[in-house]
Amino acid sequence: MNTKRNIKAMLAVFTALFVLLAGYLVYIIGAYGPYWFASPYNTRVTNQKNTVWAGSILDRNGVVLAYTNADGEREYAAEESLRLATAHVIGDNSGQTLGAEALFAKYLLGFEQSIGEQLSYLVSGEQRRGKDVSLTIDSALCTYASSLLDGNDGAIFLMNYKTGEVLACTANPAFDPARMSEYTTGEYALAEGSMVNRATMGRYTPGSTFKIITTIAALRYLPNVEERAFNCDGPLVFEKESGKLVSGVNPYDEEGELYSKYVLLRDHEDAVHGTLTLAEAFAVSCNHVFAEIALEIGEEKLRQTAESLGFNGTFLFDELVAYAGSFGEAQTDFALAWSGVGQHTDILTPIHLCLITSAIANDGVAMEPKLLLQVSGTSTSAPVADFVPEAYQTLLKGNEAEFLASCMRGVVEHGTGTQAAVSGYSVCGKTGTAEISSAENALSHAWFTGYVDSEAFPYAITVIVERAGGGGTIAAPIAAKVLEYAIVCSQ
Amino acid sequence: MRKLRHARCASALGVVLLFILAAFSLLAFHEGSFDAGALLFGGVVLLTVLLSYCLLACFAAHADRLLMLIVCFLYALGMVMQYRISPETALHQLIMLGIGLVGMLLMLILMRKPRIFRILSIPMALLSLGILAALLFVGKESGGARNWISIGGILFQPSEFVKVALVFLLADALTDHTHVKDLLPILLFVMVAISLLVLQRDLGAAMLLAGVFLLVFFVATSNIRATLAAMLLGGAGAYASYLLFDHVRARIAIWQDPWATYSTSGYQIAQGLMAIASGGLWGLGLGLGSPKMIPAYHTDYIFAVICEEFGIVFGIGVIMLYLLLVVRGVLISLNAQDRFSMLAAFGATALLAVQTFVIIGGVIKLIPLTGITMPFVSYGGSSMIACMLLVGILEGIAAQSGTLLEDALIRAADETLSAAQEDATEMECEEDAQ
Repeated sequence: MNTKRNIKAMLAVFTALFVLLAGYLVYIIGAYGPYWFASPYNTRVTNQKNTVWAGSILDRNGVVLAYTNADGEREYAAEESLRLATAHVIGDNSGQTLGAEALFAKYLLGFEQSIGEQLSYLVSGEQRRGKDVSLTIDSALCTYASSLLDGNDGAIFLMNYKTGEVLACTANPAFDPARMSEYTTGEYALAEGSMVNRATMGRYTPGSTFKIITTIAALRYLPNVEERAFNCDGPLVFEKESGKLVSGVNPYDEEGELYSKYVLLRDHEDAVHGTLTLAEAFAVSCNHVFAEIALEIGEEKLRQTAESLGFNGTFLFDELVAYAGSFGEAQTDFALAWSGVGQHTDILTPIHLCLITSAIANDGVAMEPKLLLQVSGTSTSAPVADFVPEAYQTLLKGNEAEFLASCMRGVVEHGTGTQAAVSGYSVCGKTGTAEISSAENALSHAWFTGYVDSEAFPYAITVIVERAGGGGTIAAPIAAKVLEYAIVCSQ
Repeated sequence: MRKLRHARCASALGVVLLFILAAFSLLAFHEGSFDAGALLFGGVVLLTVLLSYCLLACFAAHADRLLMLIVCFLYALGMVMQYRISPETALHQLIMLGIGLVGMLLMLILMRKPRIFRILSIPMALLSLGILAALLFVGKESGGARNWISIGGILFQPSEFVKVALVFLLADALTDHTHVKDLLPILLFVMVAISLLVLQRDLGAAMLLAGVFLLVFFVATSNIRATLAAMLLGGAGAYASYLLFDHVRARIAIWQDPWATYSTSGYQIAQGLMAIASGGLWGLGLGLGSPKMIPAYHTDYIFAVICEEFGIVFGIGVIMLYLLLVVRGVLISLNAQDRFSMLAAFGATALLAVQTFVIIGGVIKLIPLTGITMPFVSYGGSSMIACMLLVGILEGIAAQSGTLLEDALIRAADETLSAAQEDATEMECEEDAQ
């Protein structure tokens, strides 16, 4: 009978709908739950502070960064430099930032305590406390890294590329979590943008560090590109009106109609690199070659490559809030050429660049950046949440990662990033000098991203110093010092 | 076999009773001081469950006991949540549950003669439309919808009962006719009812009515083309209302990003999501959440409160229980002994299924939120009574088809027996002859 058959079909539909309900509930809470819970709007967290004393936040070596004192007040580390260097990771007690105070409130404020545990507090009459949380960061390393920024705005992010442990995450300007009330009363002034963690949420023009992405696209779409000989013979010339690449115009003829009709894509200090391979072009960061590669690949494929590396997407990490980079439209040759060398509308965040770098270091697999090392036990329960590394995504194929690694080794050995070298270790990296203003003598953002090629010290680092100058001269030496310090510290 | 099945139901009944006992014991100690009222209330709920289960077993030996058990668990869960939120409203809801159970039994008995509802179909249709139309003039407004009516000081939501009437009307019309041109009266009824509901801004009920109509229509006629056409028409209507009405547009925008308008219109959904997220896998524990931060916490948003305090795992369990309820309903429909009963049982099941999907889906942001109740659990007298009437329809049909099946089996057994006896006598005769 048809009706019976239809009823059975509808039962299948109902079943599918209810399974969808359950599946969606799991998905949405799995993906967004931690953020919703930590949201400053979630007054459950603030209310819980009235009855529960928050646990301490420690760094990986047991240094106490935040604790609740005997009067039930929240206190932070005594040294101001330490508070500022770790401010964004720790967060604040008033729920204005998404640091550990908010993201790990579940443990700190005892939301996960069982009814049995809660009853034992009730019975003993003891003040209910949340658990202590140990973070993966090394606070001394953070303080040292922050001091190297030397008062400049910028950020430094260092993670273990084999486990995803974040060892350093520091950003300038920073707020002081111990002075939140003084900021509201106006006693202390808060520098603009201090509440934003630039290491994870700072959206910057990537400059030449984007050539990593262009290189990956070249490997994917241009066969045998590794063996090709490129020729850099000076600036590329584009028509001003249409943005089309033109040939036969002398880019040095400044007398004629050059500047009225054409626009140029120059290399750093107008260098002419001559004939070079892709790896050599990468080492000297040749704009000419990478602009040509971008034009040859085309906008769509360059975008696809960028998106496969996380651009225009969302990062849903469990333990930290991070923005992904973005790759905008490039409708003319001129725009696409600049896109290929990390200008135009390209955007990257330091953590995103560090994630791509760590994938190169780790055979193409990006580990999920993690901040939570351990949650302590209390008198009635055992420690929970011991650190378990998790792969986030395989961003590159093994051979892609291998080629990129050799390119990046060249940068530090004989290219633009020689100042990033750490004696006794093999460092691979890429510099970037992002032009953010066309004004005369305006300083660029200085970038360096790289890693130590070492089993014992698998560290990937990304440094950005805002409006400070060249990546090779400003950012690379800072990266070298931080890596050296990290190696010494963990020995 | 049947004994075994009932034995399993009995142990499941034990689980339900244990849940009630544990939950109300916990609530008794909730505020740090002992609340005897909670135990008393829990005792009454416990007795109600026992009574409704036993009465059903007495009145109708062939009724679906598993279905009844699921319903018992769901309303018990509702009672726990309502008491935890506010003992006064819980008491009110308990009274409504009592009325609902009486209604269910009444329906169970009436369903022995399904013809009654077929004869009454025209008065039922006129009464439904009459009340819905009257609401436009005398209705009381609540939550943006003008869908309440006050009779003797008690507030009713007539749309809940129109849903029950729809189940009978659809089954009646589609039992004899499957051609669209013969179905004009019922089409007209549904369209007028939906228009009236939209005018009252009761979009949830309108959507529900439309959904159930489409489901039953398709099942009965197998007319895919007409069903798709109706869906397209409905889609066009929804799109038109999106373009025409600000409040519909606002609702879609809130659904897409409740956080953008957190301080105003997105507040409810965002609060619900934060509540679910705060509960985590295993919940904060009964009595330890903050349900009152969510608007409509005891009606539309009860699922978020359940997830906050009992956890997502429990929430998924509740969804699966509803699914099991739907499966039982469909089985009752498939086993029905006549077409009217089959369509009525399917209609009642479809109504419960769609209503559950729409409200839970709205709360977890799978679909835009429309304010309707979660069957058996949400606070709301009319909804509770209407849902119990639907259970009465299902149980009545189950009991009826069981009895008919049993009669048929006995008759068949008698025939085989007498045939065998005849054979035996014949054989004896033959033996004698030899």
